[in-house]
Amino acid sequence: MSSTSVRPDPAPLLEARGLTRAFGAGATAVQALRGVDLTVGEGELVAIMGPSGSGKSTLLHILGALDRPDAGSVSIDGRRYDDLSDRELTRLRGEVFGFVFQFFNLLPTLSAAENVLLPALVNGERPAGYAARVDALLGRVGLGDRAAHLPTELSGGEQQRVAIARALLRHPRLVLADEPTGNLDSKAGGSVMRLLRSVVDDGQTVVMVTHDPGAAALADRVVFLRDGEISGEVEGGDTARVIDAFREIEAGAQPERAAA
Amino acid sequence: MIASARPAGVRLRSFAGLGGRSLRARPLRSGLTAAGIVLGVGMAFGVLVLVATIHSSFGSLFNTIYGNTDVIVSGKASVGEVPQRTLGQVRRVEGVKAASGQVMGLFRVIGTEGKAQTGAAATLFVAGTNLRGPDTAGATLVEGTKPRGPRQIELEEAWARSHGLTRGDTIRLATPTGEAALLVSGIFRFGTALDLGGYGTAAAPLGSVRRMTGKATGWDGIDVIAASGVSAAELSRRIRAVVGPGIEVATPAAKSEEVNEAMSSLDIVLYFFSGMAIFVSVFLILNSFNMTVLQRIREIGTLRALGASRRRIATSVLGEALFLAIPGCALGLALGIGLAELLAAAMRSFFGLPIAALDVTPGALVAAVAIGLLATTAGALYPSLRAGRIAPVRALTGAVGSERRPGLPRALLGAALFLPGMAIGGLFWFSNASGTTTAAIVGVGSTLMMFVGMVLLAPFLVMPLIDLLARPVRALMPSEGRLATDSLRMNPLRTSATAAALVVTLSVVVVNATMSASFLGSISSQLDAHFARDLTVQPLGYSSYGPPVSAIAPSLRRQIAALPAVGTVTPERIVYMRKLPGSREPGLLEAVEPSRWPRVDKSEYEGASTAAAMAGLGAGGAVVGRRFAEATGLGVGDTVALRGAGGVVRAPIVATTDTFEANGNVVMVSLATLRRAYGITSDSTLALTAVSPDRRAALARQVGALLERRYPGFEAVSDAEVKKQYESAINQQFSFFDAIVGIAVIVGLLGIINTLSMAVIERTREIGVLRALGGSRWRIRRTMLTESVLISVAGSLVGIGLGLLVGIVWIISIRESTLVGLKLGIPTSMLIAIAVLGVLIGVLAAIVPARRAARLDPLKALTYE
Ligand SMILES: Nc1ncnc2c1ncn2[C@@H]1O[C@H](COP(=O)(O)OP(=O)(O)OP(=O)(O)O)[C@@H](O)[C@H]1O
Ligand SMILES: [Mg+2]
Repeated sequence: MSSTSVRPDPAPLLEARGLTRAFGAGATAVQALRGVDLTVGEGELVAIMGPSGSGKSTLLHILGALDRPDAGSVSIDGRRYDDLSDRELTRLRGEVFGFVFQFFNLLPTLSAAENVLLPALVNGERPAGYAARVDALLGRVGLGDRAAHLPTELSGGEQQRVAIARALLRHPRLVLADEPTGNLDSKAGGSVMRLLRSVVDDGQTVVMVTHDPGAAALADRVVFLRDGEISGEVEGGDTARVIDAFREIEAGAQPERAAA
Repeated sequence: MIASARPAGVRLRSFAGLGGRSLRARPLRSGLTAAGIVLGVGMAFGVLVLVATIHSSFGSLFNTIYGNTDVIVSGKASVGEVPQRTLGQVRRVEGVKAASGQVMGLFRVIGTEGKAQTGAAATLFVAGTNLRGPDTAGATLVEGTKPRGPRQIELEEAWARSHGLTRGDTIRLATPTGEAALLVSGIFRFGTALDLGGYGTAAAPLGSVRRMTGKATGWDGIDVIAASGVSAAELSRRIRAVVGPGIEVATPAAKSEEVNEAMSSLDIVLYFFSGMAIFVSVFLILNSFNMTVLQRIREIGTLRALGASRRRIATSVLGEALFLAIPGCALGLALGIGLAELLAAAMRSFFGLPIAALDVTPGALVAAVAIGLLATTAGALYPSLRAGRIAPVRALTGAVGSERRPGLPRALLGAALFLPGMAIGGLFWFSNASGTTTAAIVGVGSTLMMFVGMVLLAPFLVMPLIDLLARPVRALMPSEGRLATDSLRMNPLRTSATAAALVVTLSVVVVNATMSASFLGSISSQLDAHFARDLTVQPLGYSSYGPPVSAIAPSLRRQIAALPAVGTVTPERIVYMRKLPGSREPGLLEAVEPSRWPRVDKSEYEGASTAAAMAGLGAGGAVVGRRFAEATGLGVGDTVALRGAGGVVRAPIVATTDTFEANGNVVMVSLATLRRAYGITSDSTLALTAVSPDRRAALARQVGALLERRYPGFEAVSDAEVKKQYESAINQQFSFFDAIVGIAVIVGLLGIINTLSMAVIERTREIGVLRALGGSRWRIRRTMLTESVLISVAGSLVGIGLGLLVGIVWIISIRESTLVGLKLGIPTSMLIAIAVLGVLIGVLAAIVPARRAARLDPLKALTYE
C-alpha cells in the first residue's frame, strides 16, 4: 500500500521549526522539547508517537496555540503564530483549530450536546443553526441517545467521544487530538479513527498523539518523538511497519542516550 | 422545522447561559452573595429613604404651617424673641398688608392618670396669635369655631383625630405655668397635609398663650403678608432695613431650607454608617467570585482553548455577578423600606425629630439600585479580570501553586492610608461634632481612607493571630486542629478578606464605644467636680440634643423659691445655636445668674478667679469654652458680639473654661445679657440647694410635691439622675449608629459561611480520608466549627484592637487639641460583649458548612475530582 506515494506532495499547512520548551527552572527544570521540526501538509493525517513524557502533549499544545515555545517558530499557511497577540491567538483557536484534550475537559455543568455545541457558543453563535450538526456528530461517535446526559453520567470513553465531537463542530481546518482513542476499546477506537479519516478526506487536517500502533497505522504519516526530539518518521497504512519502526527507534535510541 | 429550534439535549441559548449554570452549580455561594447584595442595597435604600423623608419633613414644614405667610420675622436661626415694638415697625413698612405676632408654647398632654406624658405624640405646639387678625397659616376650619375665650383651643385635624379629640372635648395640658384644661372649640386643617411624626399643632388666643407660657412680652415670630404686587424678596429687603441686625427676615421656603441645611451634616453621618454595609458587601462579592473563578480555572482554560476571548470570559463572570444583583436589588429595596421604618421610628424617639411618613422618592430608588449594581461590579471586577487572564494552558494544569502571599507593598500602602486617615478622622468626627458639611465630608473621607488601610493591613494582623490561636487548638486536637487551620493559612488573602468584614465593622462599634465611654466618664466626673447643687428642676424629657422641651416660666421659679427648704434656686438658660456668636461652629449659649451661680456650681475658670469671672459676667462680660476660643481665636480681653433679636451686645471675654458640654463650644453670659441680646426670659433648668445639708430630703419632698400638684410638665432630679440622663442620651445616639453597622456585621457573617463552604469543597478529599479512617461526623463538624470560630475570633480581636487604637488616638488628639481633661474611658463590658459576639458569629457561621462537611459521603468524597 502506497497511497501517499501516488499523492502529490501536499502544500504545507503547518510548519514548526526548532521548537524548544522547558518547564520549571534550575535543578528541577524539565526540557520537554529540544528543537522539534515538523511539517504537516494540508489534508494530511499525521500521528505522533513516543514514550510517555517524551513531549507529545507539549508539542501538540504549542501547535494548537495553547502554549508558546521558548524558542523556535510555528506557522500556518506560512504565517507565524507563536508570537501573535492573545487576541489573534484566540481567533486562531476559535476559527482554525479544533482541540481534543487528553483529559477531555468537558464542562461538568453542561450536557453532552451542550458540550459539543460549546465552540459555537464561545464564538458568539446561536444554537439553532447547529441542531443538525450536533445530532449528526453525536450520532457519528455513537452517542446519539446520550445528548442530554451530563459528563458525570458518561463513562470515560463516552466523555472522550463527546470531546472529539466538540473539536469537529465548526469544521476546523486543523484538528489536534491528544490520544483520542486512549480510553476506548478497539471497536470504539476504530470508529473514532474512521471519523478522523473521513474528516481528512473532507479536506481537513488532523494531527493526533497516540500510543496505539493500530490507530497510528491509519494515519498518512507517523512521527516519532523521543526525549523532546523527532527521532524518526514512517509512512502509515501498515500496523506491522509502524510497530517495527517504533521498536527500531526505541532500540536505536537506547545506545544514543547511553552515549550522551 | 422551526428556525429557533435548539439541538436535542441543549437548553442553553447562548454563551451567557453558562453563567447561570455556574451560579446554579453553587447554590449556597450564589445565595450568600445575593444576600450580601440584599443587605447592602437594603441599608443604602433605607438610609436614602430616611434622609429623603427627613428633608421632605422639614422642607414642607414651614411652607405648610405658614401657608399664607410671605415673610417671617424672627430671631436669627429662630433663636430668641423679637421685641414687642418690632411688630409696629414691621406694620409700618410699605407693602405690608398685614403682620401678626406669634407666641409659641410647647405643652404636654396630661393622661387619664393625671400624669404629663412624654414623647412626640403627647407634645403639642400651640401658637398664640390674634385670632381675629388675618390668617397667616392658611388653615381652614373643618369643624366648630375659632377659640372665642381664654380657655379654648383649636386643634389640627390629624393630631386631634389620632388622640380621639373632637369639638366640645376638654384637653388637659401641662404648661410652664401649670396645668390647663382647655375646651376644643374647633378643628382645623392646613392647606397642605402636615405630618410632624406625631407632634401636634394647635392655635389659641394670644393672651391665653402668653399667660400659659409666662412670656409677658415679645414675639417668637411675626408673620407678614405682602400687599399685592410686592414680592416677598422686595418686602424682606424693606423690613430688614427697619428691624435690628439680629433679626432674621426670611420667606417660609428659606426657613425650611435653613432647617434642611442644619440636617445635612446628619445626612453625611447616616450615609457613612450605611456605607459600611455596602463596603462589606463588596468584600463578600469579591471573595465569592474569586473562589468561583479559582474553582473554575480548568473550565475557563478550556473555554479559552476553544476560542473564548479574554473579554468574553471577563464579561461572563461579571454578568454572573450582575445576574445575582437583580434579585439582590429587588429584595434589597423591600428590606430597605423596613429598615427605613425602623430607623425613622428610632430617630423620632431618640432625637425627637418630627419625621413624617416615609417618602419613597424615585431618586432614592434609582440611587439604591445604582449603588447595588456598582457595588456588585466593584466586587466582581477583579475576579472577572482575573478570570479573563487565565491562560488556555490552564485547561490542562488547572489550579497550580498556592495563592499569592500579601507582600510588603500592600503593607506599606495599608499603613500609608490607615495612619493619616486615623490621624485626621477623629478630629473631624468628634471635636466639632455635627459641625459644618465640609468638616463632615473631610471626616468621612479620611475615615474611609482609614478603613481601606485597615483592610489592606488585615492579612498582616489576622494571619499571625490565627497562627497564635491555632497553637492551643492543635495541641488539644492534633488532627482537627491541623485541618481547621490549614485552609485558613493556605489562603491568607481569602482568610483576611473574610475577617476584614468583621475587623472593619466591629472596629467602628469599638470606636463608638470608646468615644462614648470617654465622654460619659469625663462628663460624669466633671459633673461630680462641678455640681454643687442638691436638686435640678427640668422639663420632662429634657436631654441635651434631645427632643424639644418646654421652657420654665418665671412663676415656677418664684414658687420654688418660696418653699421653706429651698436655700438657693437659680436658673440656667441654654440655647443651642447652629453658629455661636463670632464662630462658624455650633455650640451652646448659656446664661446664669452671676451672683448665685457659684452656689450651685464649683467650676473653676482660667484667666480669672471665680469671683472675678462672675463679677465680669455681671458687668456684661462672657466666659467662653476652650474650643470656642480656639475656633474663633478670641481670648480674655477680646470681645464677643452677641447679635440677637433684642439688639447687639458686645461682651468682653473675662475668662475661659474647660467644659465637655458641646465639646467646649460654649459661651456663657449673665441672664441680663442674654435677655438684652436675645430677649429670652424663660429658664431651661433650675439648680437648687437646700437651706442646709440636713434639709436635702425635705427639699426634694417639697419640690416634688409642688411639681406633682401644680406643674406636671416638670420633674426634679438628683445629680445621679442627671448623669443617667446624659448617659442614656449619649448611648442612644451611639447605639443608633451601632444598629446601622449591625447590618454590616451580618454581611460579615455571611462572608464567613461562604469561605467555610469553600474550605469544605477544597478539603472534600481530606474529609473523605478522615471519615474513611473512622472519623465521626461529630469530629468533622468540630473541625469546621473550630475553623469558623478561629476566623471570626481573629477578625473580632483585630477589630477590637484596631478600634481601641483608633479610639485612643482620637481621644488623645481631641484632648490635646480641644477638650483638656478629657479622660480616656475603656468600654470594658462592650469589648467583652464584642469578643463574645465574635465567638457567636463563628458558631453561627459554621452551622451550614459543618453540616455539609459531616454529610459528605466518604466514598464520594474520595472519588471527588
Ligand atoms: N506544566 C508542566 N510543568 C512541569 N513539567 C511539565 C509540565 N507539562 C509537562 N511537563 C513535563 O514535560 C515532559 C513532557 O510532558 P508531555 O506531557 O508533553 O509528555 P507526553 O509525551 O504527552 O506524555 P504522556 O504520553 O504521558 O501523555 C514530561 O517530563 C512532563 O513531566
Ligand atoms: Mg500527553
